[in-house]
Amino acid sequence: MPPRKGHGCSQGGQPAGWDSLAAMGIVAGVSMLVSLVLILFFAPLEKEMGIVQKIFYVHVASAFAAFTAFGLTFICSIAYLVRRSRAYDQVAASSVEVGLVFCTIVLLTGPIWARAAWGVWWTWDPRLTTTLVLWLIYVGYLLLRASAMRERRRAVAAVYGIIGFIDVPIVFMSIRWWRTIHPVVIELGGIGLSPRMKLVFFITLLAFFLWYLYLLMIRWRVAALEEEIDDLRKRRISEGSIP
Amino acid sequence: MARGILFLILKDIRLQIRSVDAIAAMFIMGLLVVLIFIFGFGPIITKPAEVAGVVIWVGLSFSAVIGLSRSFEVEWREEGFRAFRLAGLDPGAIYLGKVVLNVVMLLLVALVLVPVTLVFLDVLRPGALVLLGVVIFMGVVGLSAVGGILSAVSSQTRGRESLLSVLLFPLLIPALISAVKCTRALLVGGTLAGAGNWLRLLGVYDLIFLAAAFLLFEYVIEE
Repeated sequence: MPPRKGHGCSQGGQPAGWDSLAAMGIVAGVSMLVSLVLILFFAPLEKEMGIVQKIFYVHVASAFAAFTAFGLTFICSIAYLVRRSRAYDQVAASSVEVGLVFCTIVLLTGPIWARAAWGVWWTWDPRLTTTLVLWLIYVGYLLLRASAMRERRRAVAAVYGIIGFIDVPIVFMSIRWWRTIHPVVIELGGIGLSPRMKLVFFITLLAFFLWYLYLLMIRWRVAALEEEIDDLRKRRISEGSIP
Repeated sequence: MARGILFLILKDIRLQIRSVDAIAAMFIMGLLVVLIFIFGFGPIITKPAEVAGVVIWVGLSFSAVIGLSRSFEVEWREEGFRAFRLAGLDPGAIYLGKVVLNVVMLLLVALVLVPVTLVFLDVLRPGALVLLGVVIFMGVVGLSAVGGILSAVSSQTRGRESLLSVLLFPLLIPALISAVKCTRALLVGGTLAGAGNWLRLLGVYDLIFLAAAFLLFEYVIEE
């Protein structure tokens, strides 16, 4: 396929209007509140770890949201290179930003839990380590977007979004092997959940997913507005009304 | 396409020979890293054979960044990409050409850097040198495969190449872990028996990123 011009491409899809954003905000906000109440008052106390175990709900739900976010960036990056519509690029970039927030929550809550449950702040557990590498990769994505030359920004960011995501499963595999060759101090698996815990867990998962979608929708809206302002400014400069 | 790639490689190698500064900078960088390690950890290195792999690969990756960050500079400055397009050269060929160039340069650096490190740490194992060469080659291909496309990406930012290492190192983690594991197995045991699946992982990493970057390269350099 012959490469087309990276700039001046069509907008493609439109972000949701303010009305649907408000509706989505109410749905996502209420489910976050419900899940918080359930975590604090409904979920049973874990026998050995006690109250600290409750951080697990937030931790895993954030990880789920972060991986979803970066996965969406991967898909939208491919879609951008194929279709060249601004919408895909805007969603890809917005999803990275929101995903990084969740990724940071994972990296903060993980050590807090680890300290209480395992006695150490950090272990080189495959999941935790992969999340750290993921965080580094997508901070790089944002740095790239911030410093890439204007007309090349979308294409190079899309390429990096694809390459970065391909790396994730390889990182996970390599770190799992790395850990199995060394003595594994703590094994993460084998956490049995009681039915009530399971219920709270899945509700929290859903709530965080809705909250992620809500933040993504807002961010996309903002990204689209930013570019609109940019276009207007460019047009006025070319018309000569702004020196 | 094979002829195009060959032509590009010869052009780049000729350029490198005429100005030795790139390869000299790469080599000095690698050597400095090795020295810093040995100065820093000298007395507390009790198992040098286990450490040598880390020293070698950190040295090689730093020197790779120096070489990679320059590899597209000349093409932007001298309108190389436009010339390649006019010549009907496939973007993938340009990418492969740069990868081969970086592999050759890094192998030249490794040819000196690796023996020097092994001698400094006194872990030279003549019997393992052939296999070590294979591991170094595969690791260097991984460095150049990912580095080749990312240096083209970072050459289109305002800071030009300063972003390269930030983008490159997180992606290199699997390749570096496997390369270090293989090197350590060789220097400790003399065979790859202790390396488990690491050599295979390194091979898979090389192939995946060579293929992905080959396909994506045209989007990086389009105008």
